[in-house]
Amino acid sequence: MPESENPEKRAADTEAGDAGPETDPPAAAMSKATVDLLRSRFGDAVLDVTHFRDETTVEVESGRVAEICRFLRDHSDLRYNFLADLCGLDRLTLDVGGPRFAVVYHLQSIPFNRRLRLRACVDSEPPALDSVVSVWSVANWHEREAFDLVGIRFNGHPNLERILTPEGFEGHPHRKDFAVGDEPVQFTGGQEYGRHDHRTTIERDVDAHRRPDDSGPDPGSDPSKESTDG
Amino acid sequence: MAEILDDIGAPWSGTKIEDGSGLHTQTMTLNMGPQHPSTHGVLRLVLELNGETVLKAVADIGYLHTGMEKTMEEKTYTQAITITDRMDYLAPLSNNLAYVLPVEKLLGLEIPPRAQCARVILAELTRINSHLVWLATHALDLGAMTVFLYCFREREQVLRLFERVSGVRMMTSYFRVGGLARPLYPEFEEEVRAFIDAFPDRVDEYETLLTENPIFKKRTVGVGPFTADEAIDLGLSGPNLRACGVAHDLRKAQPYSGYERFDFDVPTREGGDVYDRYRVRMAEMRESAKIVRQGLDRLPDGPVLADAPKVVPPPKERLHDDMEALIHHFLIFTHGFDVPKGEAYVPIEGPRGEVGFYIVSDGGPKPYKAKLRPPSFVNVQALEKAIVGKMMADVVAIIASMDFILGEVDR
Repeated sequence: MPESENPEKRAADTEAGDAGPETDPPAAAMSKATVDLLRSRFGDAVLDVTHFRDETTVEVESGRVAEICRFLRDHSDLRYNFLADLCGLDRLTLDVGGPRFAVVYHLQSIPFNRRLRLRACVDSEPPALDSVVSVWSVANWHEREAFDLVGIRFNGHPNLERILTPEGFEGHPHRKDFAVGDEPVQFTGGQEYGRHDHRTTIERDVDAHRRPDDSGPDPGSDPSKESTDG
Repeated sequence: MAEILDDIGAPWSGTKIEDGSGLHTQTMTLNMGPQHPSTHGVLRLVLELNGETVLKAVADIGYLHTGMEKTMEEKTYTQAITITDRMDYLAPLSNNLAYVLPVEKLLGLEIPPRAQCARVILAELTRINSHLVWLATHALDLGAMTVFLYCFREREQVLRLFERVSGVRMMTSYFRVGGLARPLYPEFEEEVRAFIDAFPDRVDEYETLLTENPIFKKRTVGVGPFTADEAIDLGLSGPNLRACGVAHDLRKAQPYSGYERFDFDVPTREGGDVYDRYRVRMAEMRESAKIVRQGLDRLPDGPVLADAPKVVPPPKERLHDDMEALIHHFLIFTHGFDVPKGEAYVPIEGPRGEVGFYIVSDGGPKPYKAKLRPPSFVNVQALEKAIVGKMMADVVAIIASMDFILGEVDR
């Protein structure tokens, strides 16, 4: 944990933004075995490996992601049997280069108590890659959510439908270019619509049915007289 | 009915079933929710029934979807904390913690010991609070009204403590990046201790009513079981996973906030059914009480905010005579604090399982992406699988035993 193990790292002393990717030896050593196995098995499909703040991220080729996930789950030295989370990421305004969309997988190996983050950048339009539902059943709804909110297609998904947004919703709200809050709201107050009517509904009904000669108490009349009437 | 089903891709009502006698019967489609008291919120289940047996179940969610994660992208890191409360409104402090940890990790902040310890105490009280509501509604669904009343009695005491600590009963937003929003109030130790000393007896009281109750056992033992492999495949975590015999608790396995210094057990059961999930949560409440007591015993003195002037607002008094403090104060409240570019995910053991925020920072004062790992979402998905082949009456028991909060499912 950063708070207990890295007392030397202090945001107070560093300008934000300076702390770029860094190598953290213990995390690197622990995930080295995983990365080596992946590299030896998949070679060029492993595009990049980063260690940042104790966490290891492996960037893989999106076309082979299902195959890689199956390998990570089944290999006896890895056993990443728990998919903690899967989400789509729109990197439109994130200054990282590469394709716009990515799918991020958070894996956990319960037998070995390890974690790994996989990232698959998707270049195609519409963005599409293979589903991992056949590897971990839990991916089903996560992939539907990524499809719904970010618009990523998962090939081979059993039921790729919207899940959170309502029926007939258009667009993918977690995309960075999805318009938020720009719906024009018409201002209906002001002079041209007349002054606001402060009467209650009953008062309005009474006024509408009142005969012209039957004017109620004069607004200017003596208030003490009104109260005795009541 | 067919039109209702079509919209969630389940056009399967009225399938003919031959029973061998030459006569035939037909399946019935039953819509359960979103306004059903035992769906614990606005969950809608569409069930296809053969008599009383569920042949197929489709969960329809999203009724509470308000784009909370998207909203967080428009808030500064501090403002976004208020949204985390509203996702899982029964475990606000736990969600606060799940959010501030990855942000602190990105910033590389060191949290003072007093704040760490207070976080652990409050996170465990949150677990007790959440489990109490779960137990109350679970028992109520199975017809045990008394347990409901007892649980809400104790829950109110926990909420009162939250109110004293943070000013609010439910939407606490008490954890801040760098520590706590304000110091603990002077009688905190005394009041929490009074509650926690009495609490194990209260758990005994609930257990007297349920644990060996033949009606309760008939409704729960052997109902809706998962094997360990199924549970892991379905992404179940927390008590739901531990009820299947997997002793995986993130507080032990990947400790955060100093949990490694606490002495507690990880209760597990083997059967993975509704009754086992009940037993695991009951045992967890006792363990949480143990952790809270240890936390109170060793609660250190000192500041509750990190020494990080660019992130943590300075004390109000210093604004009058300290130029630097005034600048920092102004910057933090107008611009927010910049978080180094990168990504972090710190999973914690929430009441419902693994909770964590995947935070992506672009170096600015607002999260570029804040994605919750929602245990409730996963639990509802597993529910779909768990109720197939079960009796209609068991559906209610299984729903309650999975323990989910629709606010977090839909976000």
